[in-house]
Amino acid sequence: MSAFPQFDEERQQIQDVLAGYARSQVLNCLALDLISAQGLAPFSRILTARLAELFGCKASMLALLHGGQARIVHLHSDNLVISGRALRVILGKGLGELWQESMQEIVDVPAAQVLGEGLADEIGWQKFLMTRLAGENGVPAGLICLVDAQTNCSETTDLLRQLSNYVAVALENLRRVVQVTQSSRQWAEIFDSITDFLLVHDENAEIVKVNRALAESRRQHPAELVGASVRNLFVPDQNRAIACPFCPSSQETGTREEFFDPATHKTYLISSSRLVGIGENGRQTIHVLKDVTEHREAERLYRELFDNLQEGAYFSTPDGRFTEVNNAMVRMLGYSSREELLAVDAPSRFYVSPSQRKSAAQDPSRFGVLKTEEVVLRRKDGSLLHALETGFAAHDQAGKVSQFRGVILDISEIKRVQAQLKRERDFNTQILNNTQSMILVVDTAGLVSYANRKCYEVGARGKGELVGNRLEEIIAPSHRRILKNAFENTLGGHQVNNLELPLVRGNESLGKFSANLSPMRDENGSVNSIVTVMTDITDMAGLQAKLVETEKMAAVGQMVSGVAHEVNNPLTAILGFADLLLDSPDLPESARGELQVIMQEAQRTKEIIQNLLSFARQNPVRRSKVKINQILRRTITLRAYDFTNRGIALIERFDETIPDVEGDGHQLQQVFLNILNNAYDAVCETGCDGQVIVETACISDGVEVRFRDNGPGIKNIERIFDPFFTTKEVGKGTGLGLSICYGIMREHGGEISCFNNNDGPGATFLVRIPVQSQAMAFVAGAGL
Amino acid sequence: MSLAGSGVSSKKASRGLPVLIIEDEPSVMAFLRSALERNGYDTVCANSAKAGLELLSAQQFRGIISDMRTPGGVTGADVHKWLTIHRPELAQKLLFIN
Repeated sequence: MSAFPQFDEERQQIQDVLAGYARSQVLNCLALDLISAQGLAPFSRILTARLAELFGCKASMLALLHGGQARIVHLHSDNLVISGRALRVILGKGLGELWQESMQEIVDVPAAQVLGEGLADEIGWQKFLMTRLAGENGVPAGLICLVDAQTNCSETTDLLRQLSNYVAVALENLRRVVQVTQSSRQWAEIFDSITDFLLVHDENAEIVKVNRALAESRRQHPAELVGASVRNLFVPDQNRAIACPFCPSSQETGTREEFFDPATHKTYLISSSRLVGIGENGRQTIHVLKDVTEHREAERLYRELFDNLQEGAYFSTPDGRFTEVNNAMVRMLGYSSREELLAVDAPSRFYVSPSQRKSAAQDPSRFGVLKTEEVVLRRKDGSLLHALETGFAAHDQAGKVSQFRGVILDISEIKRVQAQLKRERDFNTQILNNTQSMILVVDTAGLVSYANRKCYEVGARGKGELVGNRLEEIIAPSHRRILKNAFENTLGGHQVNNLELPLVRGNESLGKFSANLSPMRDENGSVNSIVTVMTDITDMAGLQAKLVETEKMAAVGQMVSGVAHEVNNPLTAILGFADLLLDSPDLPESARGELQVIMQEAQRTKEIIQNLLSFARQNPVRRSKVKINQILRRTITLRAYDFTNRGIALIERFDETIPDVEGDGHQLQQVFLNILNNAYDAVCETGCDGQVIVETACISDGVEVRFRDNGPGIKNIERIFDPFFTTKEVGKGTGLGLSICYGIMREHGGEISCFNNNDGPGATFLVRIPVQSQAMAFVAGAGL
Repeated sequence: MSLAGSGVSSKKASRGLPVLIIEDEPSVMAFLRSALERNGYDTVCANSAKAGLELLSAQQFRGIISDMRTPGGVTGADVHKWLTIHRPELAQKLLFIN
């Protein structure tokens, strides 16, 4: 209490004014201090100090709220018995909990409620006065807490409320400043951490900023370069009068260009952009220089590879139009330049079968898959190019084909060689398969490794029955030894020629074959297989014999004909004079008898001569259509009596369908009669049950007649048609009968032959008569 | 063909024109002459048809006996052809031997 109560009110008023002034002073200082505070730490330190001063409190603190947790940023206190850090943790926890419970603007609580009884007593704190600091969107950003403030409650509360508003704004400002500072620093760091060169210059081409990478490459600090001319950054380009070598020549921004640094041999890709209205100097330009030296090198290598590739390479659109081709491709397709080829607008022009191409393009299985196939391309001049195309379809993310890429290999030459090889192989196969000889290749073990078609035809064998089997198996067992010897001889390197071998044909008949064995050598000259060529000479042997026979008969005929003519005239005179002598009246009787013998023998000679002449030079055939069966029946009738008498069976087996033939009926009858007589004589010789079978049949170009007897057979079968050859006893036959038959058949263009029966006793005569005797003129001209 | 078997007429022919014989074989010619002359015919001989034709154009004959083939390239058939043109009365009196 005052000694002068009357002044107490006045003094109080003066004190209030002074206190208010002091507070306002503090507040002013606070405002100034806070504005100039750099960062949260000095800000909170100044704030809490001023608050403690203003409110005369034991301690003051600033806490920031984060998700229900309070963090004590700064605790201002004169006297603390426990460590500030531990206390701040406890305070943060207590204040956070407290604050969540109360949403009031200003809270007044006992210190024990926050710290606990013991700790509050120990420190000596009684009361906490707190106010929150509004943040963005009304969410409290933090709070101010005063411990044991020495002011009257209502004033303090008002002041605190005002103060909190101010501090909240200052805190928010501070936060923003910090953010800006941080992001600015981050940006600078980012700017410097970029390895591409970054460069900002002003309108005068003076450097405003460069990043660390660029400065380091110039061996300078970024700050040292600021203000320097861009032109001097790299080796000055003499040819360019422009201040900045990176600025695009056009006014357009973002135009890309490349810059080559001759000092380092590096290539940079430049991207530029202009900034308007930043900084005091107005327009600024930013250049980004990207080192693309390696890319360019890789591109160059790729280009070189692409262009120098011997295979044609292309890129094409999905519809097949070329977008890029290499030189080889241009050359292959016969164009004069890449540009010319790329300008061709018709994809179908290149592919001979575009439809196939198109379907291939739409085949999803092709996407991204390498495929190699043969294609036929059309050159500029229209000629065709056979090529092997390896390509694949690249597709976009939607799964559609976006591009074809491929390599084309010219295989025209390979194709040509292939075709030629095939032609040659076919040609050789044709020769092998169409030759009339059997050709077999046999390995050194004697197993057949190849056999041509003829082998199968002759042997009537299946594919598996020759190849892989032993060659000997087709040879008659009796000759296998000979073949084996020849085989070994050939293996020794010697050729074996004209080895005659009997071969078992498909129909089980034996054929006569001539075999040639030749060694086949490998590149080292050693024999690795044997080529065996076998020719069927069965028919040839028969033909040969027949030819010899024909020639013999022709020679005999010629001789006989000459002799007969020469003998005929003197014989005529002999007969004539003998006849005159016999007529002579003064001929003695004794001479008459002898003369008659001369006459008779001369007459017999005459007949022989006549017969000889009819063998040698037939009277021309009086040709007409004759029926062989009819002639045979007539002939048989002539001898039927004798046959029956002797008990000889005469069996007729006539084919009634045989055609008529052209011939002389009387001459043919003479032939048949002669054969029948011989057969009769033959079966008479044996004495037992004689049998003669007469058979007619159709043959390919005529009629065949067989006379088969079961007599003793023919002894000198090769001489049977020779004139004067007879097996009959002297005087019974002239030996001219069959010779005459031979002559007749020859004149008819037919043939007569005989053989001893294989399947029984006796012999068979064979007469063949052609339907039309075309061969007559030929045979007649053969010397007779 | 031989004349021996055919028998020459034994009746003696009255003398008149001769018979021409064309035959190159001497033995046959000799026989023909003997046979004809013994039966009373005169004969004129030619050893080829060529010579025979010369005789035919020079004198008259009763008949002709000719071989079909004689040296000189003229045949019996040629003789017949000549006769039908130049001496048709003799064409029916030609006998061929062979």
